[in-house]
Amino acid sequence: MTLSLYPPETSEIPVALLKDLSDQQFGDLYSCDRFTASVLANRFRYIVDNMCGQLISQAFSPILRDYTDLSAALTGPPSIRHAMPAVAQSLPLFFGSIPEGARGALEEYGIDQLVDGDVIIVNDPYRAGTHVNDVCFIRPAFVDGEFIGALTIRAHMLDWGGKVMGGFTLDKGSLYEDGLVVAPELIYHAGEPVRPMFKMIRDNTRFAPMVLPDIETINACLKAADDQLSETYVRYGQDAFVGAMRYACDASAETMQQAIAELPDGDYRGEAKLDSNGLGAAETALHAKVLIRKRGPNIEFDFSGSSAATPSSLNCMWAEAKSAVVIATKWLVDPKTPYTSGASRSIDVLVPPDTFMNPSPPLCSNLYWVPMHCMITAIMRALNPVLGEDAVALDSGDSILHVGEGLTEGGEPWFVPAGGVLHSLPWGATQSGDADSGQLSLYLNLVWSGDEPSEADQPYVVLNRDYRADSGGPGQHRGGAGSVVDTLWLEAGNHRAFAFMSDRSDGGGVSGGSPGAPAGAWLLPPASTAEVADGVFLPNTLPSSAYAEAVPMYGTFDPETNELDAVNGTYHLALHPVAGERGTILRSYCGGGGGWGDPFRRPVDAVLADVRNEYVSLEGAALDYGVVIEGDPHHDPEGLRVDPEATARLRDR
Amino acid sequence: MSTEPFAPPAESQMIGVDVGGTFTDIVKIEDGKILVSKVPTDASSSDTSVLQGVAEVGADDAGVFNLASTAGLNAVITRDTPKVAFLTTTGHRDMLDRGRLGRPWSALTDPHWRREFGDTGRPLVERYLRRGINERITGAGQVLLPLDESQARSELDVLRRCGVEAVAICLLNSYVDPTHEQRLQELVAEVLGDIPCSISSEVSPLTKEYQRAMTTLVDVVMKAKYSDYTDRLSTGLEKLGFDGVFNYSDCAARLLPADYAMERPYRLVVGGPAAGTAASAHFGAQIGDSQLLCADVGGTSCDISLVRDGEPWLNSTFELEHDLHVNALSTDVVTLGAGGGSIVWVNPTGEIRVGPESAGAHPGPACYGQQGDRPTITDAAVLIGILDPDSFLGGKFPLRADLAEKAFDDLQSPLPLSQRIDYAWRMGINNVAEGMVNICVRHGLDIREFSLMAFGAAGGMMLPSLLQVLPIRRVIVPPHPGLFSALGLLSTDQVYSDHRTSYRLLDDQAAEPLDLLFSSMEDGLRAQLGRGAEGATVHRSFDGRLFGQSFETPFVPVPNAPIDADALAKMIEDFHRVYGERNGNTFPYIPVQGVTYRVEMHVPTDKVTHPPLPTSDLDPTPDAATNLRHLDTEPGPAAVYYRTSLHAGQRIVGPAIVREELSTTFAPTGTEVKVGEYGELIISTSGDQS
Repeated sequence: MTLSLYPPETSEIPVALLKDLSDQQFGDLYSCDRFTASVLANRFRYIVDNMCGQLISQAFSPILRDYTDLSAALTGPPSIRHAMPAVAQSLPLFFGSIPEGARGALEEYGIDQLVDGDVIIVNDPYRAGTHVNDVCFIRPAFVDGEFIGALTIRAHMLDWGGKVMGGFTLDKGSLYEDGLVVAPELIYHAGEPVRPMFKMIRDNTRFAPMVLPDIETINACLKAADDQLSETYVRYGQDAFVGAMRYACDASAETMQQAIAELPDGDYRGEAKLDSNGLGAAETALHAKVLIRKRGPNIEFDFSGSSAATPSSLNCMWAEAKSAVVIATKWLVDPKTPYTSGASRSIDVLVPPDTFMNPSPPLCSNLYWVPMHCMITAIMRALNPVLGEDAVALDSGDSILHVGEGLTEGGEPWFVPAGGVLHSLPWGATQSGDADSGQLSLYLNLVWSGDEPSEADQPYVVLNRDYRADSGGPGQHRGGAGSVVDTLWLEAGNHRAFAFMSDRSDGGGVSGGSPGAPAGAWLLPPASTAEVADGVFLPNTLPSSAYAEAVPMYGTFDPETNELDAVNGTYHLALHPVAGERGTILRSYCGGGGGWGDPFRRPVDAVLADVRNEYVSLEGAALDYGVVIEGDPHHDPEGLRVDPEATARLRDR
Repeated sequence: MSTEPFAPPAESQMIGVDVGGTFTDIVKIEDGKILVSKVPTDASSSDTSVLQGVAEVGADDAGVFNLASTAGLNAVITRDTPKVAFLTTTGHRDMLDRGRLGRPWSALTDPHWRREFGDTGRPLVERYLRRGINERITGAGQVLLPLDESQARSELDVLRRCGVEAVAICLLNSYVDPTHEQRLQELVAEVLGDIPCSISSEVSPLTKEYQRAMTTLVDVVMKAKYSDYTDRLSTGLEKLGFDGVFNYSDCAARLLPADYAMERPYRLVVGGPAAGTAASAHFGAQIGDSQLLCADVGGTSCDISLVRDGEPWLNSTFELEHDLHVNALSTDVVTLGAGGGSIVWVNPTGEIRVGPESAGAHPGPACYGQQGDRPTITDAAVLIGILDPDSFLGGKFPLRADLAEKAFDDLQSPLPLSQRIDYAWRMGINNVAEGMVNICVRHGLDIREFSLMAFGAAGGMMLPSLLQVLPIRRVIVPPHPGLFSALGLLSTDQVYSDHRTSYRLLDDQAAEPLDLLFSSMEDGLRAQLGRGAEGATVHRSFDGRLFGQSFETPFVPVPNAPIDADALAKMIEDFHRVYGERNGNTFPYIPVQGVTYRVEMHVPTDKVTHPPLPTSDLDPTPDAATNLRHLDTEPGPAAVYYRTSLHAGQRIVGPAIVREELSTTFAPTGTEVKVGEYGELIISTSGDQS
């Protein structure tokens, strides 16, 4: 089945490139002049950005206030098929699903049933994508009874019921275990809270004292944005208002089409895998396969042949397939322009039914971003060879997810939600240069407050966040370095930690560059952390004996030593929460980003600087870059010397 | 020369100096008159430019010398810094590479984006000079690991061998317990000798390690840059006969005596833009207008800020470049790419765009004839007829209209020339208008309640046209708009301040510790002020949040009295009020948590007073006429007036142009200009003379 997710949003297709339209043609198409169209397109964007910014600064739950797991969007009236001229620049994760959620909810509920001040919510993943914790709050905007568009905030609710606190776990076999599912229904009516809905939420969430004020704040943000939107409509009139919405979408459709058109026509294949389906070891690995058919300005992404849907948390919905495709496409060919729903107009996506990117009810999509990231990886692998110098090396893999909970010595519950022990993730290098080590997944963007605010009220101490030497993928431009994060737990509790793209050795570098180092995590028992009490920090590389005593959480390990061994090791995933005593250390490595270009072409001075800065070891410089350096990088960083003859011998080989 | 914190006698002469990237502006108040001087800034030694300009107006009779400088900012953003090392808790040195992780929204889907101050960009401290020290204090203030002095000495030995010139120290949770930082500072002195060293628990004892570290780093860079600079200026001023009080202006345009300023010089990192807001607040008070949008339109950008109820709107942090944060109390200034030199270009879908790229001073707009071939707003103003090519900068710098026209002709656009110019002009104005709407929206303010103070060389030229697109009350072009920011340096008080962080629920148990905290901060300030404390007023505030929130609501007032149950109740009540005003909803049932507490002591200082202008009942006679071209809304002739010939009370109907030596004001059709009591030009929509 080819599912075209992108029906034309405009009935009138521009007769020429937008820049070549005469004033008369422009006015005929968009019912306003060029000037007004650009003014309004810009205003739509900052109305949604402000709505998002306001919520971030006023939210209560850590998942919103600290990890900004939210987005916002404006969608138009039915006459333009609810096209989305503006989406907040906070979180690309929801690019695909947020307009689908809004459009579907409004049509299902019935716009004629709605009045000014209403807000409807929906979180059914089969309707609105992502997972049940991500609730869409949709406020229809009216002027004189006329529906002019809708404002939507999609925000992760800290807890929404379901089998585990906070929601994140591997083994949710169905949506019924995931939490409360709400079809489009009113939560505010004419500005007033709908009490039964609030009561139902209160009785289903474990954190009502945070979740309910979050909802009130969301309503205030929607109202403020509605006021600005309505004022804009009144000032510019319906024709210009709607015309500008169409213009904003057409403009991004055009830039995307032109970027696609520049790719050579052809069929391109790519593949990526998840280490496991979350229920077992390596034999349960999930594969995303994509065949990209590119013809002129059109492109189709066909995921036929991908793995079947899984009875675990590792499915994503068709809406995420759309997000994966548009994020990867923006990333690779049209990175600079703001996203609108128009950007996906010439893109088709085929997701076969009952695959892990298009499951059937009641399967669950609790960890939806993981399959999505896998799809993005497959697309990058398919298109990178076509892009030549413009290829983008792969990032380090998926975000590491840790959740901890337990009781304090005093008997009080503690809970560290997903994202609490945040890892920065390194990116892949590009022709522009080396990649940053401290970045976020390409589908995330948030403002991180550091470790101190968490340590002020959470039971852990972050001992280490150092970048690891030799972890960035070697290349003429080096991939970002992976980091080690060591957290010392001041209370006993249970820990879950997982990542599913822990190893990029099957292809992470581009244009001759190499992949970054693999990821992994261990829970080190207090016995092996006794040196902490003696005032000695854990070095980035521990003796084998320390790993042998540790509980491996995820990664490809030597089964004897528990040390990472991506080549000969065995993939292991701790399927269930692991208990840790007070004084336990969670050590996690995130992988490195891929390199761009032949590492032997990296300037010797750049390698010397890498060694001085401990991004590359003396051994790594010789082995990966063919540069022989002498000296002691840590104790005499400015005394390092390159051996030119030995370097020439290595590089000439 | 003295840096004693005393207000000079009322009759004293005052000098204000604003060191900008291109020009240094000097204003002197002498016998109630305003003397001005403008000299080019020598970027390599701006103190020379300052002294040169001051010599022109004379310093021997001045009681105060107030300076705002961009020297520190330029050092940071150009990385023209000494060799600095950074010491932090082992395992955390890469905080200076990560920042707060987020990328700018313009780079949301851009794999080529790199953090400007990160290790792949232009780091302030290379990674090998960022050293980990074995120690650890928890968030609750317990010593998990004692400071390992021998390991610290070994790390400092490495830095000594590397010849570092300054050291910044930020250990984890040092805002709770500073002892490890203090001891480490002693070790730095022992091993590295007498070099600048800043510790975060002194510079900015606030939570969030990255911002505190960056603030400390900027502080030590400023120490290294400014201590010699201050000495050279002091010596130079003495040679010019100056024996008054030398103040620096901080990021909120408050005056700090030079010695006091040098204790925590990060506060000076961005001195200039806040001065314009201070000038607006001060002049607004003189003309009875306390709700102001302030716009300083210069060559490269337009700085927008707010004055509400007579007070500049402040922030608790300042961003020098994307995510490079300094915890400096600062005037909230938003910079838009909409200055006279902002470049006009055409985007791929054919839209005419303006800025943020600027032609700067070199090559400058095409009409400058300095090989600039891209059109700018100034070029549009020349072609429209607003700027007179022959009288620009008093005729010292004739402009080339032919080159301006060629630059617009060369744009790749299907639009005819007139429409290109019309769109460019309107887009430049629209950028400012949308910027202002956006600021008011973000702060929850109604733009209709605000007047717009328009200054900077291009403020009067561009901003009155905003009346055609925004429902602002009126536009005010103050006297000396081109030097208005420098006048702001003669418009504020000396301020001594301190702040601390302590997470604390505001309940019954909070009264005693908070009372202690405020009194200890105030005792410290009194000790610093000595006799000067006698005339000072005390201002307390706190940054708080609803329990569970992460971001604070800043600047909630605190009663200036012992903190007891009543005072706490008032703090909580005020928190909910301020929260409601800022955010549009309130949660009175959620407990309030105090985070940061501030005390300021304001020492009243003499300020500039603008002299009144002679009045006239007669409407002025135009001094010349011009023909406005290319603007859809402005066909035909416009009267031209010289500002020096205008009198208070006179009215002019737009379209009209008012010229003065360093600036031009353009009142478009549909507006009316009234000359105010002090010579300010008040432009409003015709028939709406509010």
